[in-house]
Amino acid sequence: MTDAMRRHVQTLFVIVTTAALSFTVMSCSQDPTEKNALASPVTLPATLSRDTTIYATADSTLKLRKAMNGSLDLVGMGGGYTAIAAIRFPNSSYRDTINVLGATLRLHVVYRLGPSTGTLSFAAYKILLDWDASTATWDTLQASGYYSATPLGTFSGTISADSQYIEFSLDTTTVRKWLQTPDDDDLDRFGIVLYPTSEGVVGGFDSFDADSSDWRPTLTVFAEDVADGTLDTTTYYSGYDTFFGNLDMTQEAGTMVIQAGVPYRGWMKFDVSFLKQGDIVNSATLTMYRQTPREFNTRTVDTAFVAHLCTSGDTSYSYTYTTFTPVSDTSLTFTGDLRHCVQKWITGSNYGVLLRAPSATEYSTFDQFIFYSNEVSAAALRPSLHIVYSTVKLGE
Amino acid sequence: MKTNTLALRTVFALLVLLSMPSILIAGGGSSMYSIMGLGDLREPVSVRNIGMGYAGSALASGQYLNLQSPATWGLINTTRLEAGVMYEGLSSSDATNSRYLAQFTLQNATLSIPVSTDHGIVIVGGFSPYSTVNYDTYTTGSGVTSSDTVDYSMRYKGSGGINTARLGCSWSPTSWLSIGGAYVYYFGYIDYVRTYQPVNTEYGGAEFTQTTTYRGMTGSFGILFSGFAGLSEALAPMTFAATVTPRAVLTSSRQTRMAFGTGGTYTSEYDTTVAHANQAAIPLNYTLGLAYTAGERYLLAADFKAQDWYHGELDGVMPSNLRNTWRIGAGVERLPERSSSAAWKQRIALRAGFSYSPTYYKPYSTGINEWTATAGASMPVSSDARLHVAVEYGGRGVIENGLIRDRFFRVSLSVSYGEPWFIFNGDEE
Repeated sequence: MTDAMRRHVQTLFVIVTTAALSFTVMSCSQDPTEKNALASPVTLPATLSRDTTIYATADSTLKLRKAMNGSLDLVGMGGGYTAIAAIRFPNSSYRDTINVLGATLRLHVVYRLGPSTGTLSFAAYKILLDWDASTATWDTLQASGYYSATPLGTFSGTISADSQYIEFSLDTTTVRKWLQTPDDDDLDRFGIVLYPTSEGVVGGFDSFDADSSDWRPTLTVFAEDVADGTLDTTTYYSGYDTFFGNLDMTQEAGTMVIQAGVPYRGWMKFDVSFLKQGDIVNSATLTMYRQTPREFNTRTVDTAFVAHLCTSGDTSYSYTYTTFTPVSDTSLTFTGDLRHCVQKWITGSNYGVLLRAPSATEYSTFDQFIFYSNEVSAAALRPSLHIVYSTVKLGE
Repeated sequence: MKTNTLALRTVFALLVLLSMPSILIAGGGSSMYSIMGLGDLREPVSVRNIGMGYAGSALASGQYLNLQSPATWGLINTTRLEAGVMYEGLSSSDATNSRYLAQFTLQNATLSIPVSTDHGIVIVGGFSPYSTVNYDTYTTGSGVTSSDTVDYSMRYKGSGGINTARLGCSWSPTSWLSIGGAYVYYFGYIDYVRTYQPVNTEYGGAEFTQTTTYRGMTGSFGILFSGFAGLSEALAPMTFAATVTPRAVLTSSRQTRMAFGTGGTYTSEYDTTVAHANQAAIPLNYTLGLAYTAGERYLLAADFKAQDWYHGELDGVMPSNLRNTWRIGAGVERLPERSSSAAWKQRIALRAGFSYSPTYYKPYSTGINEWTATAGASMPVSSDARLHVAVEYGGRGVIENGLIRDRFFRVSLSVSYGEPWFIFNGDEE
C-alpha cells in the first residue's frame, strides 16, 4: 500500500468512525411517550370538548340526467319506473361475405325490481343516431327519430331465479348489416334499444363489463359464407351498452329522495358558523329517518347511500365520501360520520353535502331511499347533525 | 508555511459530520425549560472560553476569537476560520420520570481578517446561536361532553431558535487600549407543534404548528484596557474588558398551520391563520472581565455577565416567568510551549473553570439556577491550525413544585485555521 493510499484509508477511517459515533450518540436520545414524558415548567393549555346537535338550514332533491354505463343494464317497466337498454357491437365483428341464417341475443339477468310473478317484456329496435355509452342519457333518447319503429325482436317472460339467462331472436337482415358494415360510425352499426312493451317488472342484466364472458350480452350468429357456402356459428360478446332510466314520481312534502338509475340526489346544508378556526371536529354524526320502503317488491337490498362534500355551488362534489347505513338490519334510521365535511366547512366554504346512491348501484339499479327532510312536520324525524368538537388553545 | 492538508481535511470532515446530525436528524432533545422565553440562551464565546468557565472576555489572543468581546480581536494577525459544534447529553428528571436526551448544535462559524496588525484593525464576521428550543412532552386528558367523553393525548414539541450574525471591527489606538464594535443581526424561528390525538382513532385529531419568526438588530461595543502598569507593576499583566450589547427590538411574525385528520394521520383538511405581527425585545446585556497572566505559562480569568430580562418582551409584553440573569465564571489556562520544536504534548493548552448562573427561567415563581464545571484543551493540528475541545458538567433546576432537574454533559469542539491572507502592513506600498 503506497503512502498516498494509506493516508486516504486513514482519512476514510476517521470519517466513517466519526459518522458512526455521532449517529450512535444521537440514537441515545429517548423520545418521550405518554407514560414517561416529563412535566412542563409552564402550565400547558387545556383542551375543551363540547357537543351540539343542529338541523339543516336548507335541503332539496335534485333530479339529474346522468349516463348510466354501469355494471348492469336495466330494461322493463313497472311501479312507475321505465328502463330502456341500448346495445351495440363494434366493427371487430366485421364479416363482409356472410348470409345470416339465424341470430339470437342472450342476456344474463341478475336483478329484478318487482314481484317474481311479474312479467318482463320488451322489444328491440334499431338505433338511428350515433351514441356513446359514457355520455348518453335519458335526454339523448328523447331526440326525434332516435330509433326505428320496426321491432327487430321481442321478449316476454318472468324473472324468478337469482340469476338466469334470457334469449330472443333478432332480425337476421339487421344482424347481417352489422357484420358487413366496417365503420362503427355507420348507421348500421348503432345497435339496438330494448324498449319495454308493457307494465310488469324491471330486469337488470350483466353488461359487457362483466368479469366472465359467459355473463355478457352474447350475440350468437348462425351464418353461411356466401363465397363457399360454409356454415358456421359465431358468438360475439364484446360491445358497448348502457341504459336510460326514469321515474315519474310526485315527491311528498317533507321528504328527500335518493333514487338510483335516474338519478335523484339529495342535498343538504348546515350552518356551522358557531365553530371557529382551529376547532377540531372529533365527530359529526348525521342521522336521517327513512320512510317505509316501497311496496313494489324488490330482490335488491337498498341498504346504503353515500354523502359527498360539495365543492361548489353547482353541487360539484369531492371524490371522498361517507357511507350511511341503518343502525341495525331492520332499522329505518341511518347514520354516518360527516367529520370530514364539517372540518372542511370550518377551513373553507360551506356548499353543503350531496347525498346519492353509491356508484356501484346508482348506475346499475333502481335502488331508492326516501328520507324525511327538514320540512317534515314531526321535528323528531328531521335530519340532525350531532357534532362533538374540541378546542385547543393556540399560542403561549 | 507547511500545511498538513490531510490533517485539516480530516478534522474539517469530522466537524462537518458531527454537525450533520443537527441538520439531518431533527431529533434528539433538550431541556423542557426551553419551552420558556426564547429557549436556552447560548453565549457566543469560543470553545476556549467555555473551557475556562465561560470566562475570558478580557483575553486577547492571536489564536482565539471571542465573538462576544470585539475589543479582543486586535491581536489576530492571520486570516482565521473557525467553526465549532457542541454535543449535549442531558439527564432530565421530574418527580416521577427521567429521560436521557441528546442533541448536536452548531456552536459558531467565524472568519476574521486582519487589516492592519500595527493598529489592531481586524474585521470579523460570524454566525452563532443565540437561543435553542428543543423540547418534547406529552399530556393526556379527557374532554367531557353531554353525550361523550373524548380521551386524548397531546404532544408538545418545540424546535428552532434564534441565531446571530455579526460583523464588526476592532481597533487599537494605543498599546494599552483596544476598542471594538459589531453589528449584530438576530434572525430565526421557533416552532411550537401541538399534536392532539384522541384515543379513539375514529375521532378527528389535529396537528398545529405555530411558527414565530424573529428578526432584528443591535450593536455590540467593547473596550479592552491593559494599562494597569501605571498603577502598579504587579498589575501589569492584568487586563480589563467591558462589553455591552444594547437592547434589541425584534419584529416577530406568528402564523399557525393546522392539519386535521383521523387515525393519527393529519392530511385530510388544512388551514392556516393570518400572520400576526408583534415584537420581542432582547434586553441589554453587559460583560465585565478581568484577566491576569501569571508567570509565563498561566492565565487567570474571571467574568461577570448580566442581562436584564425584567425589561425583555415577548409578544409585546414582559414575560412573568422570566427574570434577570447573570453569570459569574472563573477559569485558568496553562499556556502551551511557544517553540515549534517543542514536543507535541507540550504544545497543548489546558484549561479548567467553573461558572454559576441564576438563569432567566422563573417557572411558578421558582428561579432556576445553573452551575457548570468545565475543562478544555487546544492542540495543534498543523503549524497554524488548532483543534479546541471543552467539556462541561453541570446541573440546574429542582424536582419540587412540579419542576425539572437537569444534569448535563457537553462537549464542544472547534477547529481554527489561519493563513496570512490580506495582511496589510504600514511599510508596504
